[in-house]
Amino acid sequence: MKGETLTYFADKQPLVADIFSRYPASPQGRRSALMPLLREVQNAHGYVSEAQMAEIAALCGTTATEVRSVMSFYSTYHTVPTGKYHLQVCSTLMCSLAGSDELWDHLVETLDVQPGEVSPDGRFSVQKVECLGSCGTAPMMQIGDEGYYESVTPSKCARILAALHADTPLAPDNLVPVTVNAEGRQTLATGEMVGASIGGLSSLTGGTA
Amino acid sequence: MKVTIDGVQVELPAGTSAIDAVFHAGQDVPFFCAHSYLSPVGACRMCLIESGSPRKNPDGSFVMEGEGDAATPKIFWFPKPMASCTMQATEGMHIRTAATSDVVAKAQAGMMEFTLLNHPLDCPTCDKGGACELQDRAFEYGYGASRFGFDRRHADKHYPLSDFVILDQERCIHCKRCVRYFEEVPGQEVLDFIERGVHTFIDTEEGGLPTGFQGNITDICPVGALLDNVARFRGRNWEYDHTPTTCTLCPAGCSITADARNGRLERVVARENREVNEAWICDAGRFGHVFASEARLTKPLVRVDGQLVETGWDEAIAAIRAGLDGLNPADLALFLHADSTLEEGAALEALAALTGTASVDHWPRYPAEVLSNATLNDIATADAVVVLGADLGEEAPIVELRVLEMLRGGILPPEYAHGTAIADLRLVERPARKPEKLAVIGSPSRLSGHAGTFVQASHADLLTLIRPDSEGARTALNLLNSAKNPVLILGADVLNGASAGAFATQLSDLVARTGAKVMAIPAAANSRGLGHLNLVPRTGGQGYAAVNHTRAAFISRLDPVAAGQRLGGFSIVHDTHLTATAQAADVVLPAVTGYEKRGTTVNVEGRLLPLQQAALNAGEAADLIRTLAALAEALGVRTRIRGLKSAQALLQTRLGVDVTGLPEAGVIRPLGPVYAAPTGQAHRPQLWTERMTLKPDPWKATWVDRIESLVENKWELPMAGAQTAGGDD
Repeated sequence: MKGETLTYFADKQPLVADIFSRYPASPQGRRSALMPLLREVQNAHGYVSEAQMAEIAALCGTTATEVRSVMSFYSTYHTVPTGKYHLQVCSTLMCSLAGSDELWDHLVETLDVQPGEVSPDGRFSVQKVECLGSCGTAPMMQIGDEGYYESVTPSKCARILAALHADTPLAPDNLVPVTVNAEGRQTLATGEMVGASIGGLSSLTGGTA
Repeated sequence: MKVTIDGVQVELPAGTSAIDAVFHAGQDVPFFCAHSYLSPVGACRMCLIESGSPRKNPDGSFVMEGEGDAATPKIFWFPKPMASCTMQATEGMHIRTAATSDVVAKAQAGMMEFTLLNHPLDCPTCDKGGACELQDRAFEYGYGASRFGFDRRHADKHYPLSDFVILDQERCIHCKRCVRYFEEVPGQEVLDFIERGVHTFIDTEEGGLPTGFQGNITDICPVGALLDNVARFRGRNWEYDHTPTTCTLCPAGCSITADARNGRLERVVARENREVNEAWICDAGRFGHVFASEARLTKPLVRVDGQLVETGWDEAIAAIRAGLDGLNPADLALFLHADSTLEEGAALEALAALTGTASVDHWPRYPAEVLSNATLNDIATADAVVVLGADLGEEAPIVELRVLEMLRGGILPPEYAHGTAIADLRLVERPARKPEKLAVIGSPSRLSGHAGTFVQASHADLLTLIRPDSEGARTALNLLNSAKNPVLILGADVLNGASAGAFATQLSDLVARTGAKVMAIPAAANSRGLGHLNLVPRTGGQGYAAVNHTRAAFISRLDPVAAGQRLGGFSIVHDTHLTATAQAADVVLPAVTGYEKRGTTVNVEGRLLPLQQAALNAGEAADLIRTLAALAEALGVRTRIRGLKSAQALLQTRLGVDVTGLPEAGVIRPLGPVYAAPTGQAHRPQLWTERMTLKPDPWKATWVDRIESLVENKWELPMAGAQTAGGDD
């Protein structure tokens, strides 16, 4: 198992303290830190192992069952290792009409990898995902968290794969529209900050929680 | 509060949920996810109703409809059907169910079609078939056909969540009852939904469900998804003889239904008792019944040339008479198990009076009378509980659940015309628990993990509280002092050391100072009831601990040899199985289990609870009353107590209670003075005994045996012997 340590957060106490500081100091608040903790592990390892689920459960004061339940709800969390390039093929209606099934079959055959597997060279893993909101440029796929590769025709697919094999990925056609930065802030592809800031929060008057 | 349901106006207390309003008015809505003792969440969307309320003008008058005197408050209807389990009924609300509203009927039928989309129609092989909420409701409220022409979801049909509970993932309809049960009742977050949408299934990441109270999820599952593995594939629901009775494995006295088929006890399910176990029972009570149908003694045994051989009752009586020849009837010690019924105890007391024996005892019991006046509902509604020297998981698990209920607020669902509230809106998901209201002093246990204060003490006694020498003990005492309705629970560690004088004084002082109610957990199922009968050694007599010093002994369903004791003189053993003691006995008489007798037991609260006889095949086994009548015959004394009726008549004069026709929920009655005596040994409570666990793979073993015997017999099928026409029935 690559890079797996039994206690991922043991030497990252400042980070853990920072994440917990974003939530109320109550048992419910501790549980809320589940998502950023999961994201942290996933970003580092590409997936969250059972041992790390148990570790996160202990940090949040809940059980591994609860952690797995939350994790499994979101298709972006993985319980099995992913490749260096995680290809997420949109398989919802628009892309499906535009040929995403053929794209998927092509990827699975040429890369010799099934969902949940990593190709022998460790480069590729594939996943079918639901609509990524790029219907006008179907079929499309997202690679890792980098960005959208749109209107993926057979020839474009071949170019993308060749570039990935050479570890010189092509630039995405578009960045992922909204990402969450290290401070927990939502950021548009343009760099504009959106959503509430977690800094400078003040308690509402009249409440205790 | 007046609410109108399908045109019928009913008067309801404030806070009633709409679903209870509907049932209270005698109407019906289907529901899967609501449960009386769990939070209503509106997950299944079956309990749809149309509802509307009057509205007020800014001046406080109602918005009216109609002219002049005929004007009535105008009802503003919700635009869509609403889930009634999560909606509170309000003053003047109008509700329409499927009986009067086509919209509701169509919505419910449509919802049922969705619920059944992926449900495998394997009712013919499903254990739930015939007692399935989904089956019944689909019949009553469904279309009867599906428009879904595609392949259904397929998933694991035999997924073991533990040794006791098997999950059929295809049958699950995601009502979330089991998930909420674990979170809210035993406070263990060990089950949850995994994945989402149509792929959702239930699983645990903890390597199996914790033993204790897991079996309850098989009762509350509205479909055949969660199945009791002990009873799995053992019978159809309509084949079982259902016997409502009381569990006698521990002093809690939970109401259960014993389901027997072909003379075997196949299943035990919980029965609601609002006063005692609500809707839950422990795993031992549910799964530990296998002994009742395995390796039972069905005929008396007498020792001939050193070997025990089967015989009839007449021969056994003759053997007793011969064995006791030359002994005075007063030399025969009489010992009985303390889970025997009151009637059996009265019969034994009467026989002891006739023979004049001083050696009478019941076991397990504790040496001193202990004031005990708390009920289980007192515990659930207390504002502080201190548990002293008790491992409730071993002594009386349901008491533990009631303590946990106290921690989450002690909300007891109200009662309506249709029974316990189906959806009590005060119950919420993820209830905030108040661990600071619980202090546990003693050895670490399951409950101590929930306690705000835990004082580890290998030996707990009252002095720990009276003269606290640690911070934790002081906190516990303060808890009792400052609370309005505190309850003190005393367990084996304390009660084994209780002596007649000092202990009672200490306890009454403590109670006077703190105002606490006390619950002393009795040693066995009916120790509390039998304590009111003179079943303790009299002057000059031997107690059960000195069984080896008796010149002759009658021992009913006790196993002193397995506990390392030796038998004394001539021994008559009355037991359900060939125990170590029975193997050492001179005469063995077959006994019946607690599932097969009628009678009365007294639980931890002093509640008289009825036992009923399940239809089990026990051969010539007899309960203690009839066995004692046979013993009296062998002793040459005439006893008046020869059956249940005469024993109950004796109880009426002896204790002043009429135990005939007890309500199923039982009643608490004063039973008069308590007889106590030193025990000479300590009682170590243990809930699960070896005979209660399922032997590994009994089915496989049976099949292997059968096939091996078939091979040996050259594949000749075994045939029953020649039958005489008519039979004896």
